[in-house]
Amino acid sequence: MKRDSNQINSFFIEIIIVILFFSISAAVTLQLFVAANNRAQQSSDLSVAVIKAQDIAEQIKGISSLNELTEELKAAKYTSSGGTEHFLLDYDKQWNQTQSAPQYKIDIALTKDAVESGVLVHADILVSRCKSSGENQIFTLNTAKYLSKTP
Amino acid sequence: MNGKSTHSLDTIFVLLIFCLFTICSLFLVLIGANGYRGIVGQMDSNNETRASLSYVANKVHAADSGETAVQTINGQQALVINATYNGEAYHTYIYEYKGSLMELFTKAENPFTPGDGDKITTISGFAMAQNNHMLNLSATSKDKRTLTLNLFLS
Repeated sequence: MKRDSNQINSFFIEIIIVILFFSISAAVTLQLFVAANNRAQQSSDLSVAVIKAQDIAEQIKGISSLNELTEELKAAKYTSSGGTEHFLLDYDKQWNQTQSAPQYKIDIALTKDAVESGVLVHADILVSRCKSSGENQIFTLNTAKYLSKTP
Repeated sequence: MNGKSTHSLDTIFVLLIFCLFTICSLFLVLIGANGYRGIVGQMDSNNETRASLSYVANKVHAADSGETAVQTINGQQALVINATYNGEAYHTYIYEYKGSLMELFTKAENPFTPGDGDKITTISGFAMAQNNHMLNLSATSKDKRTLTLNLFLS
């Protein structure tokens, strides 16, 4: 009887050790899963952000006069400070334009420099992800468009 | 009698712990598999949309702007890039055919046969439209995510 009890106790201790080992392994593995998921999310965000920024940059390259706004900019929130015009676009989780609770933001800062016989329009495009702790910058793209005064 | 009762209680306890261990292992594998599936899905979606749009954008930028046009040939919409090498005219056709983004580079005099092209990537949908100096490209992935890119043809 005593021998049986000892056997059970040793098996019990063995199981406890195995569970302890399993718990540590599970904790490490779960951390890796979470990190991999985050990395995949970041990769996906970057992919979309690059295309969105390139899209806006190409549209800015396509303007032929100062008053001509691109389709994307027409739908944006407009602010102006210190000679820089800001156009703010809000997107939801699926990258569709939204007016409330945005998950992603694109800030287009336009600065106009008068140069000889024309205007040089600088555009700084900043794509960021909205978080409860603030905004996380995903991608930035700078471009410039020269607009001649003579048509 | 008391000894027997303790013995069976110990056995049940050990079995319960073993069951818990098995369930936790199963959950861990399921979480891992789910995470892996999600990552692969996102990677596929990225490849289908971003890679195809970037590829076409680079092709258009590499060509002279006046040489790029969206055409419909025998009911197949294609982006046609014209080029001249050693005095001979060539066409590069980029189009969606049977769930793939295809590219066909051929002499201008040769007819356009969609099946002859090289497969660039699998894609669920690819649309093109030209509006004056803007070329509008849309790529749709398997998970129905659509990305749009406008290209300025100077």
